[in-house]
Amino acid sequence: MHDFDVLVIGSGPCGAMLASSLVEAGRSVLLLDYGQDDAERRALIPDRPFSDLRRTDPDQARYFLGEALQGVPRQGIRVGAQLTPARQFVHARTDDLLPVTGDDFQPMQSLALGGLGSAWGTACFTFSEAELARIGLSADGFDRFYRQTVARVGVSVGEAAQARWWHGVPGTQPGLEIDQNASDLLRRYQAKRSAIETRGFFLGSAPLAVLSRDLGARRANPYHDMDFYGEARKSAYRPRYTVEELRGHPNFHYVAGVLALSFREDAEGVTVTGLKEGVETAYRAKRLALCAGALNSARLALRSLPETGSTTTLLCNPYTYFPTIQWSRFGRATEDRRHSLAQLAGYLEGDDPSDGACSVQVYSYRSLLLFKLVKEMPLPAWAGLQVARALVNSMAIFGAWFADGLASSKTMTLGADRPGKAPSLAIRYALTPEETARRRRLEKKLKGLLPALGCQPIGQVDPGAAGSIHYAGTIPFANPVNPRFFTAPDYRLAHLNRVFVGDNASWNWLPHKGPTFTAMANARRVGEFIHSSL
Amino acid sequence: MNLDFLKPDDDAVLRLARRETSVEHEAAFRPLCLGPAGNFLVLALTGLAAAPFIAWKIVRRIFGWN
Repeated sequence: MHDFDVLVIGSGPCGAMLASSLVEAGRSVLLLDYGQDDAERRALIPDRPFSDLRRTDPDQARYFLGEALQGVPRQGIRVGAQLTPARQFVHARTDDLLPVTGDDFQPMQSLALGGLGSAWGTACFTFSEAELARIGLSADGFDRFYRQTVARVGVSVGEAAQARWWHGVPGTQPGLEIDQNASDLLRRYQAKRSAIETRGFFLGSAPLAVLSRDLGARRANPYHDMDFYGEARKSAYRPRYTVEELRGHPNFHYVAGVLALSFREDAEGVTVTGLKEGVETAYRAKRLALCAGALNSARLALRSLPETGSTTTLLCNPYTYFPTIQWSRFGRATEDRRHSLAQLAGYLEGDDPSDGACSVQVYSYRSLLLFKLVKEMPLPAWAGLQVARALVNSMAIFGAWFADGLASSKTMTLGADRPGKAPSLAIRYALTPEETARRRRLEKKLKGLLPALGCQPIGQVDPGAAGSIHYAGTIPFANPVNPRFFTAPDYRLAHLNRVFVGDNASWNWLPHKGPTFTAMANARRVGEFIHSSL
Repeated sequence: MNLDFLKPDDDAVLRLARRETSVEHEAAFRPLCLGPAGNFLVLALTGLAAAPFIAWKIVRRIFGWN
């Protein structure tokens, strides 16, 4: 059995980033991963524009719908619309191997190479000192980890990005081009800027982990509008790229096919027990970093430390989206050249300071195909299709994310052991009445503001409690539900010396801004703590 | 009022998805760019044509004839 410096569990955004920081520091790293992937399906997707493929490729159904028609949602598209057939490996087998019970919270989990980062929307946000403090993170020196993350990931930032969501981390690339829908919207906002900002709404470029210039072996985005399907040029960052790069390094060892079940610390190091090909196998290192995602880092820790109890907390950003029609684009042609990801970012402050704020991202709609829109319309299919064709070029979809705080109404409890699988988690999640009221006020304010931007809301969709796919706070620095189960300020787990929490399981609070970029920067900081502990 | 019962069923969506991803039907799925008046006219005519189907579904729902 090899004895590595650090064993990392999970290859998602945090695991990949933490492993890279340790390998760069000269440490030997073993990355344990289940490592689901679908390279074959990725290879099916031609590196050509969406409209060209639609017009000319007789085999397009293979990647737009999948051979088993897995790209045709049976339940609606409220969660995970970005999980096109090429992305469905992201959550494959999780229902079976990582079970969750509870009717009110159905999270998306991942056993994929790259974890949930393989379907990340790529929007990057920096957190203010106050936000970091509320999470439980020291702002001291944090900018250095933001800079390192920018250098690893490649972030494109347009001139219209605002300090409320991006505070000028150096080393970024120029912003990506935005489409006509977004340019019209931004022009209208800029013309009425002072009036709209007086109402507490701010709009600008969305910083994205997508290349506008070549970076190493990765290529600039070709504006093919195929970002939900193909990765031929590796333009949008996926943690898999970091893992692939690390695999060329002699200090890095990657083992796939392992479902980690538990760990045990002793005087010399940590032993992790995992199932590989159905056989219990032990892996050992001097330190362990839990990067299995907030839910599964806590699942592992609760199972390994029964003396700390079986219940803990959970955070998840509430999320609502508003499909709108932008009248200036209604009936107009639009250009083919565009990317599929967030075109703009926004920030809305509540009327009452205690309401806080919410984050907004603006998307256009095309490459997810019209039938998914028709499926949601209360019309016969033939009529829905004509309506979708008439509206699609003028659709601007405003997603709104809300902050989440720890509460006794948001918990998860570990179930009994099951042979060959992880124990189940029983999740109970409900916003407090105050949180619900704040969310409703912000939703109402945003809906009321959209006509000033030339956008008429045609609906309001709540995809359900787990719909944002942003999870955190399961081993928080200060745990109000189970004070024995926590992350120490130096990221060590509860009462242990050699086990560290590398993902956002440690956070006390989930800001409304997307957490992934800051979670990656934080993982690099955890890597530095681990390095200095050796 | 929950209007889910008016949405197309899974079979209709599946047929639509298959047509949308075939080269020969591509033109039938292109966005309509007929100018604001043209697209508005399409919406109005579609609404008129769909009204009897919607009304019939509502009647069946009310009387439990599903």
